[in-house]
Amino acid sequence: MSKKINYYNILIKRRLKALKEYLYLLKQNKLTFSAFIIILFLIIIAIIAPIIVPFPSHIYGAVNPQDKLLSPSWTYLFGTDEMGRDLFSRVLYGTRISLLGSLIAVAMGLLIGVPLGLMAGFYGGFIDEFIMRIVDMFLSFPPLLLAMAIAAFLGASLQNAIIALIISWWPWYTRLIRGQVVSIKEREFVRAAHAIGTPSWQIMYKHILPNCISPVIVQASMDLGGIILTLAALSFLGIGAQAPIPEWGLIVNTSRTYFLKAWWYGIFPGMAIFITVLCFNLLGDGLREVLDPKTKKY
Amino acid sequence: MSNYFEIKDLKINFETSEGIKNVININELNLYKGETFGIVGESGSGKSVLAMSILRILPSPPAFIKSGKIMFKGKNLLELKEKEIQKIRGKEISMIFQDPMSTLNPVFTVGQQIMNVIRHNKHLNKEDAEKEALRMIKLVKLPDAKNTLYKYPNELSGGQRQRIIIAIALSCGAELLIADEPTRNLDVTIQAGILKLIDELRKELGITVLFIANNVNLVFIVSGRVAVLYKGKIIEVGTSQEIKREPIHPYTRRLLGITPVDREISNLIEPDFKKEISLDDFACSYFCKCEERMEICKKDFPILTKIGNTHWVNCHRVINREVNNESASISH
Repeated sequence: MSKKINYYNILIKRRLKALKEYLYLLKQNKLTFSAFIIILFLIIIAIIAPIIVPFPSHIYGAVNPQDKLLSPSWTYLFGTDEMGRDLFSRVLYGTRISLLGSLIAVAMGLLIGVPLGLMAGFYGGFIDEFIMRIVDMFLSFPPLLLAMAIAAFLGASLQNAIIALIISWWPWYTRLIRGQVVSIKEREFVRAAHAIGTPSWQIMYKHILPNCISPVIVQASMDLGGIILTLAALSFLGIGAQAPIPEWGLIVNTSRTYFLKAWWYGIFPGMAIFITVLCFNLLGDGLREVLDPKTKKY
Repeated sequence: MSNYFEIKDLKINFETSEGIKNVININELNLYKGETFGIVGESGSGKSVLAMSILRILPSPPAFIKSGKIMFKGKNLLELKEKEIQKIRGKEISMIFQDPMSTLNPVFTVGQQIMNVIRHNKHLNKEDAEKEALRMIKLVKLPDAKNTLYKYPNELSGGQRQRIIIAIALSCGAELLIADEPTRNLDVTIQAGILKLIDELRKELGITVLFIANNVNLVFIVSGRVAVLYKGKIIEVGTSQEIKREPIHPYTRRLLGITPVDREISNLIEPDFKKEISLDDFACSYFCKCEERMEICKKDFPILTKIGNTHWVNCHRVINREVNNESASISH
């Protein structure tokens, strides 16, 4: 055992090379690439938000009546709200809440939806019928309406809003995955794997799942944006995040009363939502182009 | 030796909304250890169904195995539990599929796929699995084995892929290899390479090969013994030389491109085309196309009859001839 030939190490090196190629393909599309950069930037902001905000105490509580509704200035970049809190700090911190919220919602949605979709597509028959009819039940409501109903039922809070989003989002992944699995299940290599004695759980996770994951990645990256929007909508309607939490939708909601007096109050958090959602959608579109071999340009 | 692998009274039906159709009806089929046994037949004759039924990978709503035995080393494969057949698949009986282009998983490298199978079935660690994978790739005579391991299936040509598939199929020590049209979609020269490889591997590893194809010449070149399948029935079995030299069944003759010489013997019966004829109306499934059909073919099922040491035919004409010969000899 003097000479160790480590297959997987070399494979990882080659994978990184392939990753570079993906990055190159992503760079080809200027719009997608800038969206990608902005999202990276937003993620960094979300991570270091507590450190970089100029007025940490303004994020939640802190009432400074003397500074209320000041227009943007060098001290208060985005101006202040009706309680004299720095909007820049709040919007910056809101990035963290929105991104984390949508990340949790999408991750949980995938965690529930993907295995169910795999099972439905792979086993077929009764299991398929059972799972898909439940999915149909969920899909028969518009997702925002369903999320609203669940959030209202559970009681207004950020956690409940996220739970509501998870509940209304997982069926989309189940349906997406199931459709893919049904087509890939019939492919020759699945039959070959079966003939060579691969157990069915391994066929499911090693052969079918990797082959149908790319549309799910695209969908998930788009949903990250969509869920931020829905989360903001729930907060805006008052059944999401509650008062002191600097959630974007909630800030926009409280700004309504002061809109004519203080334009900056609603505009900046609104812009934050707009840019984030736009970037996620652009990234999703770009990923589709990169991941789908049929639209690949060489 | 004779009971290494045998199929007895196998009946497989496809049950669809349009009714029940019998696709396989085989009375007897024996494989000897270490031989290459060819199955030849036109498309739709049930070759692949037969192959898949051995490993029990037929999709079971349409297909139902009605009766019969598939004996492999004393075990009836049709009676085994799913867990037990799982242990036979790959480890004792392995299969190569028709289309090398789609039999490999496109998202994994060749090495990952071979090593995955090896590791799962032999419980080796990563390094040993890698050595084993290298050995297998060298065994199927692919140049630059080490680099091939890192390639994705789309980077390989059809012939290379088929070699990889053979390597995967044999990587867990299977002793019976079912090759279901392994050279379809390949160039003729590459076909020859693959066939040569299969034959070399058979000699080297002492495996038994069940070779299935619809190319008659191919099957006759490769196989020691050949069975001709027509509409799910074996109509002629024998060594390839025997059948090539003296095909008895009218269908086999037609397959081999030999037209009947003595046309006077054949008193053709014109089928009554006014009423709808389905195949099941006639006992002999080849009745409608047969140039030598007789009245008896309509009603009586022909049976597989021994006409030589290793040569069996399923045709009334032969049976009658045998009987006639016998009666002639008796009258002498």
